[in-house]
Amino acid sequence: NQSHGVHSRHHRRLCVHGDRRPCGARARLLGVRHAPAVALRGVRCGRRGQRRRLLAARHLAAHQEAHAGLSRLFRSCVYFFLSCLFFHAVVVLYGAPLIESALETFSLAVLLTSLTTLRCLCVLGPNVQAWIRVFSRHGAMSVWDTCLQITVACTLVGAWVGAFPIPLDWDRPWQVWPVSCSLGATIGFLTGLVAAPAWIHYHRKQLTYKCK
Amino acid sequence: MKRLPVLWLLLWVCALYSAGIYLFVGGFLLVRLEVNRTSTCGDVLQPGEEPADFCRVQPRFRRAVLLIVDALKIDFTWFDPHNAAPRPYENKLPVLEETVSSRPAHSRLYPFRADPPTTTMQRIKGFTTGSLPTFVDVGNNFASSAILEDNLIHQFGQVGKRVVFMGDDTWENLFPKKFHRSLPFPSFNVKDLHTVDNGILQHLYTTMVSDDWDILVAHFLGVDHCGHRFGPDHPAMADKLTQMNGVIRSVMDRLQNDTLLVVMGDHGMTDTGDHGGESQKETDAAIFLYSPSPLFPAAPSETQCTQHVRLQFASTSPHELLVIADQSEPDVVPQTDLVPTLALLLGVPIPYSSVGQVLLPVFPPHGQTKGAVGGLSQLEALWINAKQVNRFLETYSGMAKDIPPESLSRLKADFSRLSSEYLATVRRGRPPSPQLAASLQAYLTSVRDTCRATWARFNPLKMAAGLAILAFACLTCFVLSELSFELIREDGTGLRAPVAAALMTGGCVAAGQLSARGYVEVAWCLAAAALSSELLFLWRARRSGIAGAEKIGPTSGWLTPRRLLAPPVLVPLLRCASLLSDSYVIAEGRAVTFLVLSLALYIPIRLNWDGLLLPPSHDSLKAAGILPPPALSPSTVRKESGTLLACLGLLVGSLYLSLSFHACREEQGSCQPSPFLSPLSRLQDSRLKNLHYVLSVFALALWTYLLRRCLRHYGNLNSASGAVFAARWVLLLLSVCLALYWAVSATPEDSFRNLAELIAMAQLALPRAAFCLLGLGLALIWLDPLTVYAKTKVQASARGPSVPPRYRASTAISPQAELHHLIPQIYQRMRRSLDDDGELSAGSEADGRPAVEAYGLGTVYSAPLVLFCGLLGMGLLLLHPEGMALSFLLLLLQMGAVLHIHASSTTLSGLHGAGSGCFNVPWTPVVLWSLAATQFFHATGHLPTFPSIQWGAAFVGFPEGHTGTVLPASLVTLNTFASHILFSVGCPLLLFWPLVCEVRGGRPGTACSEEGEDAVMEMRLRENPQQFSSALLQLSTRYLFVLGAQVFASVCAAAILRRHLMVWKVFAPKLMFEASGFLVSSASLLIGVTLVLRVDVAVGRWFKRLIPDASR
Repeated sequence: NQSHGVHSRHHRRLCVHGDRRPCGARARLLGVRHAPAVALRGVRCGRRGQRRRLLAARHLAAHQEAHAGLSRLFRSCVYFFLSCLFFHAVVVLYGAPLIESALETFSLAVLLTSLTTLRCLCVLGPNVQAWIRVFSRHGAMSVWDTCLQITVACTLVGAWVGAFPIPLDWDRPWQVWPVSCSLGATIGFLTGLVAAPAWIHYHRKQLTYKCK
Repeated sequence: MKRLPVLWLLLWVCALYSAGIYLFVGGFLLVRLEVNRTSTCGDVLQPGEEPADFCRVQPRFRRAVLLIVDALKIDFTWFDPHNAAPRPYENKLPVLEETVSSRPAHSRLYPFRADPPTTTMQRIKGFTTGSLPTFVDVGNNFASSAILEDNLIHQFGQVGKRVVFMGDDTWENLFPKKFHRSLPFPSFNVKDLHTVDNGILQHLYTTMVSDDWDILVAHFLGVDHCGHRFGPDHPAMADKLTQMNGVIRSVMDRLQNDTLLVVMGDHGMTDTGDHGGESQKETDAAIFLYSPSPLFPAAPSETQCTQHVRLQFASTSPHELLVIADQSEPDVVPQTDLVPTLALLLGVPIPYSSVGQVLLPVFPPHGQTKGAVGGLSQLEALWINAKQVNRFLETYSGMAKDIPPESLSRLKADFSRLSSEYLATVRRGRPPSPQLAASLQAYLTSVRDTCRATWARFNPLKMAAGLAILAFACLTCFVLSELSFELIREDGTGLRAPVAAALMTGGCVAAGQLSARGYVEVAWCLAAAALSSELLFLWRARRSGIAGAEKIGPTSGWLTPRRLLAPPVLVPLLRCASLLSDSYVIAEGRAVTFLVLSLALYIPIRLNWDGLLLPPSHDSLKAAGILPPPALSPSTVRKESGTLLACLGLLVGSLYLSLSFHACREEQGSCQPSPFLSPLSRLQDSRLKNLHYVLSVFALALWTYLLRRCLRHYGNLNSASGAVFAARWVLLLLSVCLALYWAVSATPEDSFRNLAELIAMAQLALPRAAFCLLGLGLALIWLDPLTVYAKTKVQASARGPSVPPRYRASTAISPQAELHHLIPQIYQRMRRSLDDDGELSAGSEADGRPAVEAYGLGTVYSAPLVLFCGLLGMGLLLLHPEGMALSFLLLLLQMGAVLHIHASSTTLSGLHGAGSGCFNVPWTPVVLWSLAATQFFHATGHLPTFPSIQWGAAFVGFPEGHTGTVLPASLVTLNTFASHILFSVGCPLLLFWPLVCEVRGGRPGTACSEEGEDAVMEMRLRENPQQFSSALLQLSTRYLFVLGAQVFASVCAAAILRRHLMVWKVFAPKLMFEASGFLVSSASLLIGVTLVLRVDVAVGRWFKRLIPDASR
């Protein structure tokens, strides 16, 4: 792992030029391309040529990487599960019933995880430090990171706003406990998907990414 | 430090808010106009045109016995023979059901629906006058005043009937000198189940046998008190109801043929035994009518009928009156209907302002007035009733214009049509059509409904003025918090002009009113004064603000959408918006917890967004050109973030746990009130009782320990001052007192018979001792607030762990802890700043080492405040049920967590890093603090509804009840607003805590010690007195602003939604609680700020005293 870390940092430096190129995060991702599609899904970026060049550059280390990739996959799965538990706990602390509809609450946690943590896993790999760092003002290192910031924030805010109608006495079916929050999260995510490119487009002049 | 300007400005703001609240409430909660006319025998017109003296006619009954069983819920009176295992309140009154089924022509049992508010005094008023009392009367329960409106008792007296009364002494206050004979018994002590009932029973039967009465009123209180004390589901209730069963049976045996018996409850009770609201459980009492002579038309199988009624009853909604198929047997009898029924049965005029409707089944149908002497027929009774109601309506609409004219004219048209129809029928002498009776009934019902809809009369002008004053007060408060520094710098002279303007305008308005109308209405003088002073202040602030803005540059607009969406603004906005919806007010406890949690989670997210949560990585160090150099070392940052996250965990945990202490509103269907809310004496399972007791005592001990630990940690327990004495001994004794008191009050009454006297004495003495200790402690803190131990340093003793052993042994604290908060340098520094005239003696500085060591000087301001809060919290805990100790512990933990989060985030964002002397507290912690007050209002088992007020608090230390009303009222207020009080008094801690915690971050050679001799911890405040004053003012005004905005929102809700269905149930009580909570909070905030200023005075004196000592 230690060697792998050095390795990827090396690659990160390699890829630092301008703003369209895939940066460290992406390069790392490409390292796990042999992993099943779960880890790769959701990321479709880059130009063919660049990708091929990078693949060629990394071909030598493929054998070590295969092993490392498997461990990364395993760690990603663990993170995914932990994140589900984390969201479940947060949702319960926000006032969800503890025992009554635990399954529904957990489904909401899984939904939130797949809309937020899964994207983090895909874009940044199983690296909590990097996740935390991405969500800061100067943390985004590519448009993908910015995109991630916006969609994750939109999803969480959507789920948060989704809790508002629950106490109202309208007796609608979508007010039942996890439904409105799930709807909110999904709508927030979709909004984020639309809003992120738009935001990036309108701020393309101001966006300057520093890669590490 | 400028002390008085801070205090004056705060007082002024509080006065403005109070004026606004006073005006609005004055316009919003108006009493229904009382019609002070009385009916007389001459003015009731018999059917037909010929005038006759109504009272001369032989009435249906000569005498009546009214047995009022307080809180006789309809559920108590059902009898179900198939119920094998009845609950304590079920099947305990078999006599009613037996009579109804065996003698259907003699008796009936109906649900008897009261109008809210379902408090005893209002109900007595309701079923004697026949009118609908309005909301504002609720508060009169403590000091009920005489009824001036026309009422049954008055009418009985007019025709010479002798009314004998016994029971609840509320009657005696309502009808002073109206009774022929009266035997009142004290009603206030709800723990006393037997005095009133036994008192009645001693006299009831002898009175009945004698011939010295016409109307006998007996008001039993045992059932109600049993409900309050134990709840309906308790064996004591079974005993009480069985006793009542016996009473009813023996009264029935002693009745004569010309006597009517009415057994009724004035209201029901909830499942916890409380009442006052308008849930069906509270409003539905029972009424049982019986007469030895046949009273009712022989009906079909009566048992079936009752079953039918019961089924129907379960499905009726509160304000619906269904008439059963034969249109004379009502499902539910509204309480107002008793008045005309009794009046006509007993041959007295119906009281003038009654809006009730006669109970038809007790009058024979037309043409069947066979055996019953002198009875009125159904139609005649209805006619008399309708005529009386119409007359009242005419009088009332002449006096007040609040009944909508369109419904008034519709009602008038209805009546004239009905009267001509009726008169025509009577003149022709033929049997009337059943439709006529039905339409007369419909007319009476619609009058009643119209009155009910209108009798919340508002004064829109006053309401608008109140709203405007409150809005401007909020704005003023905000401006004040922004301009606090300027205001303090100019020494508070900015206040003079507004106050002068207020006095002048108020005086002018008063003079104008006096000359124009001859009397002064205080409200309008207040309004003019408050408005003028606010406007003048705002105008001046705007002018100076523009001038200031030109100096600084363009002011950043704070109303941009970006600023509005920032969570510290968004959360209070959401909170205010939530007050406009009844669903959110009902779910307020959870909604506030949700908001607090959101805002708390926002803090680390925001810090992370600014890149301050984690130590800056090496990469960004390279880019040092772009980013500012880090102010704190990575280890400090890591430590602070750790503290922050740990405290966040604590906060979140206490938030979650606090949810389990909530009580339930009647509107919340599937809610279970917290088991900790019921006092220990109500628990029947002894193991559970013990567990609760142990938990409570544990929480109490932890509370004491945490306080002492905190004080000792900062070296505040070393000196011999009054405050330290309070911390050492009073705190301890108080907690012992509390624990003993809980133990005593939890012992069941009958378990230690031979110790009964001792227990009774302990119940009296222990809480009183606790009150005295509390008073002593608070007074000591007030008189001698310094917790500083100054030690003149011996030259030889090096700075190090060589603390004299004598000293260490006497306080039993570890040397590390002492050293940690030893502030040696402070004295030098302070003396220099104090003595600008340079009389400083050079001697003490010769070795470059301080001459005096001061322990606990770093927390000199916060320590007394923490102690004050701790003591106060214990006193307030005494007024709560025992289980609330856990909730209070959570409150303390949450306070600490918020303070630490605030301190850590301040350190991390580097506000104090530069030591610039800027102590401003940002909005986020202030909002968090004020929302936490509301959160713990709910988490200590309170609700913004009147029935949920914990009246038991008035009897802590006064188990015999009170003579006055001030003491119980203030005890109940203290109980209700305990969390508001604690958080407001502790509010200045938000200013101190970042400085208190600074030592942790600043110690290992970072920002703070760069400047070497710089003052540490709270001594910085003394270094910059001007900033201290302005920061204190800013903090207080911000806190007041957040509270005031909530009051404003609930005032808006009440004003906008004043015709909403839920206004009397949800919004008006919420407004009352929010407004009184604000008043209590602002008073406590003033106390807290004054305490800080008091400490400042003491610190000043201490330094002055120290200088001569040292220079000698």
